[in-house]
Amino acid sequence: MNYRRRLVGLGLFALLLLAAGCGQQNATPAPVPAPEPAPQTGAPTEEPSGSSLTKQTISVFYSDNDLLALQEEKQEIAFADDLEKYKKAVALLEAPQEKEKHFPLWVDFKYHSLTFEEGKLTIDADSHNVYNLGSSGEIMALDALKKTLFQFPEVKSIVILEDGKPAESLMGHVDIVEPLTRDEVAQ
Amino acid sequence: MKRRLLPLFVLLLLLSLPGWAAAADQSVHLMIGGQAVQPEVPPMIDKGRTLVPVRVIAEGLGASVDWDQPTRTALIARGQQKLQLTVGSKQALLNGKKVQLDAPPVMKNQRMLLPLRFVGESLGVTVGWEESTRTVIANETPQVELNGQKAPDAWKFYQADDTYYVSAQAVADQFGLKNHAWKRPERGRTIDGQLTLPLSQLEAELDGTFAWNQKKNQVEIERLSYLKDVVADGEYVHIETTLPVGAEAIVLNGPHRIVLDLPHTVLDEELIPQSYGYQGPTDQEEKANSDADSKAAEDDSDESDEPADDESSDDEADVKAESAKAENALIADLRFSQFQSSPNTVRVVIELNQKSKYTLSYTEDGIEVKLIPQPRKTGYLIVVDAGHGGKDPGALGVTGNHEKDYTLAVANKVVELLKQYPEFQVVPTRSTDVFLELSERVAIANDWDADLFLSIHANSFSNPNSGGTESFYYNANSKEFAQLVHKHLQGATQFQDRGVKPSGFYVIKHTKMPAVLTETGFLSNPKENSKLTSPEFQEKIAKALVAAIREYYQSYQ
Repeated sequence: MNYRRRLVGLGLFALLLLAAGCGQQNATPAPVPAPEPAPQTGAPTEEPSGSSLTKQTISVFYSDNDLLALQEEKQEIAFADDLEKYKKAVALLEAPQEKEKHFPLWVDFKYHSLTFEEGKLTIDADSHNVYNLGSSGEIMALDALKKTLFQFPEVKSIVILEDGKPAESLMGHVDIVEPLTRDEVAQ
Repeated sequence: MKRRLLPLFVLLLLLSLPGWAAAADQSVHLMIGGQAVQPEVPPMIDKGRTLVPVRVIAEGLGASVDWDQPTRTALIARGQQKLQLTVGSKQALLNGKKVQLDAPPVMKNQRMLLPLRFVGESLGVTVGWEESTRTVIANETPQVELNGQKAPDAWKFYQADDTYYVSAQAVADQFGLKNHAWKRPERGRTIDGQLTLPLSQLEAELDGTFAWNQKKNQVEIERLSYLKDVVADGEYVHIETTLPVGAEAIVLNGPHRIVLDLPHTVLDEELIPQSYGYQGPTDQEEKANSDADSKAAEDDSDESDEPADDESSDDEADVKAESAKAENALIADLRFSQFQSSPNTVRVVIELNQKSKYTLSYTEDGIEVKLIPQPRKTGYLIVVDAGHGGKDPGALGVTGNHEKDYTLAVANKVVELLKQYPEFQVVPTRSTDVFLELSERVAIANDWDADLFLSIHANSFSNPNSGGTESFYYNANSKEFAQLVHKHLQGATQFQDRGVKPSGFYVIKHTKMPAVLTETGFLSNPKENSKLTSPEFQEKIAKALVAAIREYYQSYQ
């Protein structure tokens, strides 16, 4: 008896799922609710031992030792797809090789997700991040992010969210309501 | 028992899915021209479209139908409209032009079934779907006159028996009655998801007359409201109308005005002589303009150009007289006019001596405008902005201290010091540990029409050796103020001089007055942090910032 009741329940559940699917015929497929693990840390992740990884030397940007100007570093990354490429680039913003000369503007940066669609790269940041930068640091941090990600020609704009919602500012000085675009990158 | 229930559940669920409803053979009813119609081949629903036999269309909608067997094409004509449909084809020809169908005509029991809504609307017929009775309602689209003029197309009229049902909210919207609460919605029908009410019920709820002239096949609606009076009463303005109307309101500045447009309203005859622009409109306009100019130019001057004997000589213009009585009154002037005649619109202008927000409430007698005057500027106004706050702690100091506490301590001291000068009016964006969006900080300064904006911050960086004082401005009108602030501030800190720099931080970019953001020093630098956390040092910083403001005030204002 109990077993059957469970079956009925299961059947209903399956139908409801179907129903939900039917309701969204023209929409893009509903995002699969993949169990999102704890926010990813920016630390470079271990590369999977696959052989199909693409290697690329990219530019990553840091501050000089006195928060005055951005400094460029060339680093090599290996990635399976574009999304992994962006994630590795963001992760490297925390990890300069020349640790004496170059200071990271992003430290312990956690985000829930990084997605890319039609030229728009969306980073859903964790609202609990502590950035520990002043006004000039915030502008430089955003410039470092922009210069690092806009080196990939397919990235046309960057949207930063906080916990899935639009936010006015990450660090309390610069607004990020509008998507970050290429034209405003400081040269 | 349980086993029998299961298929029932599944069936119910299937029915509730719109896409699958077609699969379940459920009967659909037809009401054409107000009459229930039962065709030999019952209507069917395919992909949410109702398909009915050609004959129903021909007879029910008064159209002629020719059937061309070889091409399996139907030619439908009604008045000037000609429509050509082919079985199985999603393409149709409407007056010779190609149009796309959602559901193609199909053959069933040797009869051609056509998509009713598409055909109906192509032929100028109104078609609706009443979900509760599963009825398709189709009828001729009547001519509609509203106060003697053509009614908006958004109004849909559905015929059931001898009654016309009208999309109720669309009618109410026309009179500005948004989200109108209907007293007897159960007397209506929900067609295409919208409440429709019989004309008689609309008349009962909205007043006026809502009638169907059967001879002319025309719906005639007369509902004209009359403006009876506009009365100022302290912080209220009562706009009295004979029928309830809603108003579209806009806010204008220089001078501050709230402008309300009352739809389908005319001036009461007795009010016409008092209306704006009546009798020698040029004189009146000039007077109004000079009023406006003088008020804008000398904010607190009395209205000397208002004749002192206005009150006694002109009883009818009680409105004007009232405003002339108290020179400090919130309401400077009330005007009204027949702004438009097609459709009839009355415009009411509330002119204010002081910027005000407002709320509108609707009563049986008209509209009550409650004015909420915004604080008035009385002196040289300085907005002091303590950076961060509440959930945003700002940067973290080397001893675990937070930037938001430093900025608030200094800002509060600056506010206290500035208050000692009677010529200054000081407004802090925050005086406690609360979070404010950057846009809220800017709104405070801009709404107050502040003269100066000073945002206090402290810096931080991952290199503990970095240090120094820096000041930022963005707009060109802020450079001198930034240089003065920086000179005094760096003089007080004696930290490394990082200079005055232009940078587009939100609060200095979007404020209209001279605005500066200062970074006193680095909380990440142990030496600087120990000073920044000392109350004596904070006092010194506050005094330096006040000195900068004093110097700027004396040099530039």
